Amino acid sequence: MAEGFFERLNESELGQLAEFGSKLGGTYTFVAGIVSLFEESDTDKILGAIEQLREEMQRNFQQLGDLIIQQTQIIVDVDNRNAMASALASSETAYFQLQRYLETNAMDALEAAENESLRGVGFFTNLGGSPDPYFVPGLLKAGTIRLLVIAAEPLSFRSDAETITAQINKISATLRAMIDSIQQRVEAAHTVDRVSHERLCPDCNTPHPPAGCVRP
Amino acid sequence: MNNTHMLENLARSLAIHHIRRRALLTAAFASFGAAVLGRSQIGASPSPTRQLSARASGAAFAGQIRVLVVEGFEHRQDGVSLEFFAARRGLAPCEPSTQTMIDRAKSQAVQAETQGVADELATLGVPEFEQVLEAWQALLKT
Repeated sequence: MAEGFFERLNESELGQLAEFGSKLGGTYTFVAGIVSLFEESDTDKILGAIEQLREEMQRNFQQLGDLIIQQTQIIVDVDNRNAMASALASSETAYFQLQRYLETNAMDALEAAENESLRGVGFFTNLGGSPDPYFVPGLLKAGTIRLLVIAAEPLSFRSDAETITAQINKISATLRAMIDSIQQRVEAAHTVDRVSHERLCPDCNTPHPPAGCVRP
Repeated sequence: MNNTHMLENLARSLAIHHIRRRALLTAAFASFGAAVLGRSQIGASPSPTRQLSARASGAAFAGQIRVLVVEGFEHRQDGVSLEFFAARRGLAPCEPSTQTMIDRAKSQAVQAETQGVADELATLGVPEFEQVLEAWQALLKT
């Protein structure tokens, strides 16, 4: 580990986020292993995933986003921050409506989950070709909720495979672009620089070369 | 001593005085230049791999040469020095570093840079983001 790097983090009291960042995504990866987008999913498994997701959702995404801002030196305008908060509120509504549907089988809850999850993830996928990496934590949350909603829908309710594939590809492409942006910015911030100077030294190419002389 | 001879002596004295004065001025100027150039040049070259060894870059004045001294390499983040790797530990001021010393210092700095990037990406959770992305894409194959 580069000692200096962590000294910098500790100085700005951000060292505690190292563990947070490294743990993020456990449930998001797990979710993908238990649901199917093209077959009927096991309702109990989705309920279990929702329970696990609760912990991820309670983590402070704002803090991780702020760390990404600091380390990649990007500026996110207030309008976009507010829009993200609104989008994540939609995703959380979808999350609770999904849970209600799975527990009660109420179709209005499923429809609300469908609409709100689309609205939530839509903010992130519509950020354009170079989305700010600040939004990665939010996209993980909104994307995962969207996947859970799709997986929980009965096949008769679910969109066709082509539509679902297009949605997942768009979400994946947005995440890919954000990850690439983080990597590029972090790599650009780190440099190796030569430290040198010029000095006047005694020349060896003289009739009586002095001690410590240097040949041109 | 006639007037002509006196004038010749006077002219010679003035010429010697002028030459000495010029030499003194040149030396003073060279010292000033050395003091200015003596400051560290960090990342002055776009490619740190160039001009790695101490070398003469032209005569300064009689008996002296201007030498490029490579002190070492720094791993920096956003322009802030994180680690320094010396290329001339224990050498006299005008003693040039060997190419081996320079190569070793540069290699250590590059290694520190690579590790620094990896550490920072890990801190930001990038490896986990990659895992999530792979899992999402794998969903399409189910």
